[in-house]
Amino acid sequence: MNYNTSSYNPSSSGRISRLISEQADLMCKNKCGHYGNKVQEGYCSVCYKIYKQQQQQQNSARYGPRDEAFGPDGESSQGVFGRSGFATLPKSARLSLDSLSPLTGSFSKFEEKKKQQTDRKTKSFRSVFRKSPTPSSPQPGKKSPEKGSKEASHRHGSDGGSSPQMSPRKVANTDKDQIRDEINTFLAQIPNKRIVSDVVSKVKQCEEVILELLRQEKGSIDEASDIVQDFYKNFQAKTEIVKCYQEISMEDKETLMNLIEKYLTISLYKEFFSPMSTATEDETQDLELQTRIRQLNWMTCKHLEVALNERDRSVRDLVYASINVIIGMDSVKPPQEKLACVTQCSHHIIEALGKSKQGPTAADDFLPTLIYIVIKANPTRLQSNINYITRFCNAACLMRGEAGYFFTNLCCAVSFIQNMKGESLGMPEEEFQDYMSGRSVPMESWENYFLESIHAMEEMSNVVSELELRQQEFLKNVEKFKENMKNKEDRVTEQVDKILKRTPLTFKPRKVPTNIDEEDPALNETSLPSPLKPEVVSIVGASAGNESSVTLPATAEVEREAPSKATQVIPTSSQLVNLTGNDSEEYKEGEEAEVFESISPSPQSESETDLQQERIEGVEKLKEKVSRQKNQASLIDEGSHRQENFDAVGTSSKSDQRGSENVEEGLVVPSKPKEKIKSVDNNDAMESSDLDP
Amino acid sequence: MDASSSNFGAGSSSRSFSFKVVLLGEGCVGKTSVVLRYVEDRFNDKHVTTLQASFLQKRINIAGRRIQLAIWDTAGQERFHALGPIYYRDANGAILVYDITDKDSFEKVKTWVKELKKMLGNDICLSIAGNKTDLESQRTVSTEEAENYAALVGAKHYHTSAKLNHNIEELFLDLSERMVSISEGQQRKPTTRRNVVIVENSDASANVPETNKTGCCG
Repeated sequence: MNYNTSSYNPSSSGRISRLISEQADLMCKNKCGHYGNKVQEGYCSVCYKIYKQQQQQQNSARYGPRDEAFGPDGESSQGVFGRSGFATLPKSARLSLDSLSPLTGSFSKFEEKKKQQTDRKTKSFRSVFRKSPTPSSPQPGKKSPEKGSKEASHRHGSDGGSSPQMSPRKVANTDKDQIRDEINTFLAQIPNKRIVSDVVSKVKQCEEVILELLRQEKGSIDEASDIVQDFYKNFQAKTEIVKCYQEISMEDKETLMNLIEKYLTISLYKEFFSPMSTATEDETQDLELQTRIRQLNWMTCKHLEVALNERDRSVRDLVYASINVIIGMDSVKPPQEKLACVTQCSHHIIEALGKSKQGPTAADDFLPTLIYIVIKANPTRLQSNINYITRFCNAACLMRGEAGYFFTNLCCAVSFIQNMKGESLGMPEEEFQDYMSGRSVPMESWENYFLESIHAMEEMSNVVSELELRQQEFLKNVEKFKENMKNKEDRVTEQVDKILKRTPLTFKPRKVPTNIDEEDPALNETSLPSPLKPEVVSIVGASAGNESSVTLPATAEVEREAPSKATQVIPTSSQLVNLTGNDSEEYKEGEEAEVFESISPSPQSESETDLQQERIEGVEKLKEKVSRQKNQASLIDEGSHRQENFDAVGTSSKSDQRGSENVEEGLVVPSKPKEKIKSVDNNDAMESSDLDP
Repeated sequence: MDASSSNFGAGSSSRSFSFKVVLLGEGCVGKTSVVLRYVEDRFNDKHVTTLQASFLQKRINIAGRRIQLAIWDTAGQERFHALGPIYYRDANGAILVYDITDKDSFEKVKTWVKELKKMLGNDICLSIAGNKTDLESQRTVSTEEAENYAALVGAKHYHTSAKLNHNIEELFLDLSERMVSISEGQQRKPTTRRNVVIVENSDASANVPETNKTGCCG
């Protein structure tokens, strides 16, 4: 089959699957009167284009700037890739598109994969080419005037869920966008645009021919492979013969071939890799190989005479590195990259062998080791990968150079694993079968477990040492923090001291509450005038002033006893006030004591300030009483006079007042440093937060 | 690898070839020593820079033709014997090495020759190398027998010593010349695309060789 001679027309809507039998099935789902196409999800080409555009718009709200050179301009000769969405896919559409990629698939996902591949039959391969983002792009159909209404009606149709296969399916994928960018960047460097347009059209043609082929039931993957291989070969030849290609260097030609190969394989990866037509075969092979390798789990280095010294740590690390690389082969798409994985794995093996023994590594050592690694790794879908590389990697590249050699070795390894017998390992067939079926375990296999345990141990010890490091770091930080705290503490103490020094908190010696009943030992009774005794005078209003004038000098004389004096006096006066209305003769000692008690209950237990306070309160009370009795007492004026006099006595006891003031001051003073301390604390907190690891 | 593809349409004076040469031989016959001696001119050197001797390349010039030799070492152990066809598919030449002190290794050469002939017919150039001539005193394979056999199968026989660097250069040079002449002869024939078939059971595509495709790109 030659893709050059194919007269494939992408906009033709007349390609109808032979399975469709009814006339209604042939019509466009949009009821526009045109014929629909199965690969266009039942739409005619015009409606399908609109549908795709809408899908595209849903997926990316806005589109990035277009590459002018490869834009969808129909008149431009180089615009073919652009027209097919080659260069113009917006970045925003590149996210989260890989969900359909079969790469993550393991064997448990076969069902899913099969379903995908079945879906493939119904969906358009060329959908990628259909997402011309501008709605105003020229429509090949004659119905363009009705586009708007059609679009609307179509949207209704799709919203109504009339077609089950119209679930929003993502058609582009990130890898493809990347390679598109890559190839466009490369082509942009080429001055001769004839080359560019030629490359673009030929590659596109090849892609379409393959898609067309695979869409047919009979199209086998081997035919596709042949087409691709022929394309590589002919294109290679063309770059050597055709005149315009002589302008570019050999390196560029090679790059171009690589890019073309990459582009084709990436864009057709789903079709090429473990394809539907041979899916059962490839998948079965994968499964068989995987089961086989699993059964061979008991094998050790000794069975294959592998020269690896797995007790050496660096060798073990390399072995695990090579296992990782070979497993990673499944997750890259272009055959070249898969080959690169094989090569890298092989290099790790060779390095490991170089560390295990003297001299350079020959195939005699290499192949058994590779087999051993493959058995240990059990790479996913190994057979599918090998088939894929064989089919779609440029055969010229595959057979040339190191990559080809290592790939051949990998094939040998797989072949050996598949055909291994007891004889190949130098053991009786029965014994081999026993091991394979798990009936018995070879003596040597303890080494496997040993090595695996060692590896696990190493990993754990790595974790432990890491933890240890962190612990040390933590401890260091704790120490630092402690030190910092100590510094802070010192500083705070210092500051507090400074502040205290500046504003000393001096407590005046506290006054011992004087018990008036007690004798002051410091004073001789003799040196003191005998306490005044309130004289009970038969007072009548007017003489009150006299009385107070008598009391006054007395208080001034005995300063220390003033409080008691005052309190003593207060009741007296109050009593007097109280009694003003009554007969003053009725005054009794008992009543006086009672009132006194109510004012200052126990001088010993109360601080002096309290006393003072109480005293003042008492005065206030008295004042109240006085005012209350204003109406009653006719002699109120005298009483109040007396009261005033008494007040004077209260204030005159200056020593008391000062004392209480001092106490008050003593209490107030520290409040200022307190604030300062607080601010220092804040600083501490801030600085200590730096320590937090 | 098709040698013809690389010199397609190139000028007659500066043709370039690249050949795949497989190296066959039982373990311990000195395959690796022979190829290392040839490519790097080293023997049991403690300062061997290349870690690997399994795949080596060498560029040479013969009468203005640029030739790139890719030398594929193969695992010689008996257990890997069945894998031979995978290795020497599409090979342009093969060097079969045996140890003149080891009769068995010579017998092994015979089986390989048979296989190569069966697989690749007369397209492949064969060279048989009796290595370790420095151990002449311990020889068990007679020179006459070996040379007679080589003549019988159309191979060139060389007595080599990797240790003494004896006849190594000649061995490869002669092989290259023969490969060039075969390749040049092939060029006049229409080229058929060789399908790369890696595993034996997937050779369906090899059975349907597509000949004479009309060039799509021309």
